[in-house]
Parts: sequence; structure tokens; C-alpha cells
Amino acid sequence: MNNEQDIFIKLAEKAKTVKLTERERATLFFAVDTHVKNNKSKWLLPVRSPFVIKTSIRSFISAWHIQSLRTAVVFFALVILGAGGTSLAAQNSLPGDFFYPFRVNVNEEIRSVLLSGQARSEYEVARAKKRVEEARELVVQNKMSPEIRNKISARLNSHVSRVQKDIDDLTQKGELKTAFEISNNLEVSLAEGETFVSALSPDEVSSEELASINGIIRGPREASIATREKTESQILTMQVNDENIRIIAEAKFEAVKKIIQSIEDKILFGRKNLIDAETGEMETEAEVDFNVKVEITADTDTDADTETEPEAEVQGNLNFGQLKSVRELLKKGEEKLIGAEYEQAFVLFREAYELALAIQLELGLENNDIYNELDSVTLNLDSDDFNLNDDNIFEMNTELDAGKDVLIVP
Amino acid sequence: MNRDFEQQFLEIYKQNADAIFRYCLLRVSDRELAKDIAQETFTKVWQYAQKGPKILNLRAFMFKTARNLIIDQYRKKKTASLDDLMEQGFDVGTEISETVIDKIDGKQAMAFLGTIPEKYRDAIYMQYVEGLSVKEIAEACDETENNISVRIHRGLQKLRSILRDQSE
Repeated sequence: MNNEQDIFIKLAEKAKTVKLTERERATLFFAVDTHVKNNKSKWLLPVRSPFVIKTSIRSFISAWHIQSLRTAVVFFALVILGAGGTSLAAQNSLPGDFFYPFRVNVNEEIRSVLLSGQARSEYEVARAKKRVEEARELVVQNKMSPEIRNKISARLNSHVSRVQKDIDDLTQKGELKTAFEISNNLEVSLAEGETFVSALSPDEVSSEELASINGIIRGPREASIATREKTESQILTMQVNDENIRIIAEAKFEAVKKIIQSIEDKILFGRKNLIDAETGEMETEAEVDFNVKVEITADTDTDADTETEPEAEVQGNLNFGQLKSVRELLKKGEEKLIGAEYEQAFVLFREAYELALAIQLELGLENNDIYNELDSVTLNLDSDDFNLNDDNIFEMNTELDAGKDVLIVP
Repeated sequence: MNRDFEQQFLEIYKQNADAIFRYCLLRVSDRELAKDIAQETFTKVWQYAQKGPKILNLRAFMFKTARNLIIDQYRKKKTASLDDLMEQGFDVGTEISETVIDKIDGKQAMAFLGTIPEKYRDAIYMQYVEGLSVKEIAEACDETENNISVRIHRGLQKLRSILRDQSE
């Protein structure tokens, strides 16, 4: 080998030392992986390894046939069972109804089988939440029995277990963003379910029945929290790079916004009138600075020599100031996100997340307290300060000072 | 099966990410741009794999895709000159010996390879640095194997003459 060739070979070897840094590699991998996940052909035919030059026609055909056969079996099963009409009938069924087993064990299972990846996991999360809603409905309709309760509990645990397994698999494969999104979604969905249950009034459910449903939810809910915390911890202790932290910070941000939306929906649903005393219009949360403590007291002073003006305040204990704190944390987190301080953004979003979840649950419980307290209030109906409208709801007409009290009447 | 293919693709990506990046860097001499093109290369290959006919040689196909992207979009890069190398601290006045080569880093080595005339550069680089076969290089460059062999031969002759000129 001559000298020039030696030089050239060495040059080539030196050139080969030029590589992506670890951080660049992770960032690039993540971008490619995300693209792959978001651009998958749903009905991709089985594809042989690109390094196999000669394809076994026989094995290729059989692989194709297996996929077609599976689809055909499902289709014909649905036809044979008269699934068209049955499926519709099953849709609104509850545990204990005739069509309910078909819905859960056929309709839902087939759908779960036909989905894959993140879509399947998200579907199982939705199924878990559905089980909670079904339990609530059964209690409201007074159809809950110990046997049905146990079945719902078993199914709920099964859905949650599937999702947890998917999350573990995804984390093992390094699909951190997807694992994180699913774990957040599971926790938020079960929290919403818990709030939904907690919002039942004493008229609808006894405290024993409420405790019974909460018992169904508590285990899976705690498991979902543990799963989310474990996923977060794994992500943060894995190979850490800015891109990973940014992604989970943004996912956390979205999760908090979802919870806030859910809280606001509950507020508007549970509180028919969030009324601006001056304009009589529905107020948005942003316009109102809450930290409500308003009391209704009946003025029973009967001293004839004094003209007393009745005072009216509604007693409540709605800590919307806490929601404001959540928004402030989000705002600070967003600033950190924009400034590329991703770890700090994540910490702020996580704090907001936990506070928002606590508010959500508290809101459900507080509804019951309000109903109890208002029941015991006697109002002076002659007061000029408030009117009884057509919905038997009191509206306060006095002008409100900014940042002070607001009348909220359920 | 879908999941298997996805996993295979991502594994192939991991094995070839550095090579594709390096090739892009050779051609565009800009690290950020090279990363962008490398990313685009892999996303395009994935898109093609979803829709197109079966790819027989994925590695060659990746280089071909990168090459086409570079040709289509980033042809503005000026050919590196030995003056540029001197600005980077590569003293071309000194006899280019094995000793000198031992002292330069990978970045300087890439810059030197960038001085090879364009028509020979891809073929020589792909063979000597990335280890592609003549057949793979032919597929990547859309040329016949014979043409590639000729280019490699002539390119090496040219390189020898550059090295010889510098040592005189």
C-alpha cells in the first residue's frame, strides 16, 4: 500500500469520527419517531424486512391472508349475531341490562382489538371512565347491587391494568412522550369520573352508596396517580435532554388546561347562574375575582322603632381563588417554556396540575355542602336587595365591587 | 406486523443516523443544515416506505434520498477550497504526511474531503468513509456500477495529485 493511499485511508477514518452528539441524536430521533408515529398507514400491508432480497411468496401471501381473515371473521361475526341492531340496543345499556354483556364483551372488545398503539390505550382510558359513569348512573337509578358493584370494579381494574401495561411497554421502548400523555390522560379521566360521582347530591344518593362507588374508584384512581408519577420519574431520570423535558412540560401544560376546562364546565353546569349583579349576564371566570364567602342571614329584628334593611348573603365556600392560583402557575410556567427553561416550566406545570386536580375533587364535594347549607337558610323575601326569578334563584342586584363578593346560587 | 416494521425502521435509523448526517455535512458544510437534511431524509424514506414499492436496499436508498435533497435544495454551498482549510488552521503549506493527518481532527478531515471535485466526491466518500459497495453507490447516485467504478478510480488519482502538489 503506497503512502498516499495510507494517508487517504487515515483521512477517511478521521472523517468517520464526526458524529451527532448525544443530545443531537436524541433530538433527531425524537423528531423522526414522532413523524413515524403520526404518519402510519392504518392498513399497511405486511412488509418484509428491507434487507431480505428474496421474498418468500408463500409466507407473504399467508401473512396477508391472516390479516384479511381476521377482518373477515370479525365482520361475519357481527353479521351473524345481527350485530347491527344489537349493537345499537347495547349502546345505552347499563350493568344488569340484557345487552350490557354484549356491549362490553363484544362491541367494546372488538373495537379495542382493531385499534392499536396510542389509540388503543386512549380507548381503554375512555372505557375506564365509562365504567365509573355507569356506576354513578346505577346508583342514581337505585339499581346497584353488591354483585354488579363487584363486576364493575373488576372491569374497571382490567381497563386500568391494560393501560398501565401499555405505558410500561412504551416507556421501555423509549416512547416517552406517548407514555406520558397516556398516563396523564388516565389520571385526569379517573379524576373527572371521581368528581362526577362526588357531585351527586344527597337527594340522589345516600352517603353509604356514595362511599360504595368511591370505593370502586379509589383503587384505580390511586393506581393512575402512581403510574403517572412513575412515568414522570422514569422520564426525568432517563437520558435527559432539553427536547424530552420540553415535550413533557408541554404535555403537562395541556393536561392542566384540560382540567381547568373540566372545572369550568362543572361550575357552569352546577351553577346555573353565575350572574353579574349589574348586567345580569353570565360572567366568565376571568372577569371575576373569587374568594367567596357570602352568607344568607335572615333578619329577624322586630324592633318597631328601627327600620332594618335585610341583609342577604349566600353561604358558600367556593375557593375560586385557588383556580386563580392555578392560572398564575400556568402563566409562570409558560414564560419559562418560552424562555426554554423547560425543567422549571415542568415543575410549575406539575404544581398547577396537582392543585387543579385537588380543586376538581373539592368542587365535587363542595356541591354537597352547598346544598346542605342552603337548605337551612331562611331568606327575607321582602328585601329589595334581591329578586326571586322564574327559576327560583336569587339574583343579587347590588353593585359589586371589583374583587369582592359575588353571589353564586346553584 | 405494522409495529415490527416500525421498529425495524427506527432501528435502521439509529444505525445510520451518523452516516447520513456526516454525508450531509460533507456536502453542505453547515452542521445545523446537515441535521435538518438528515431529519428530512428519514421522514421522506418513511413516507416512501409507506406508499411505494418495496425498498430492496434501505441504506443505499437513504443516501440517495439525502443526495437528492441536497441537490434539489441546497446547491448554493460553494466548494471548499484549500484557502478555506487554511482559515480553519489546516496548514496546507506543510507536507501532507501521515504525521500531519494524525494531528487533524474529524472536522478538518471532512473539510479536506470536501475539496475533492464534486463529480468524484460522492463516490469516494461513500466507499471509503461509509463503506458502501459499488452497487449501493450506483443506486444512491443513480448511475451504473461501471460509471461509479470509473469515478472512484479517477477520483483517487485526483486526490493523489492534490496530495502530491501540496507536498512539493
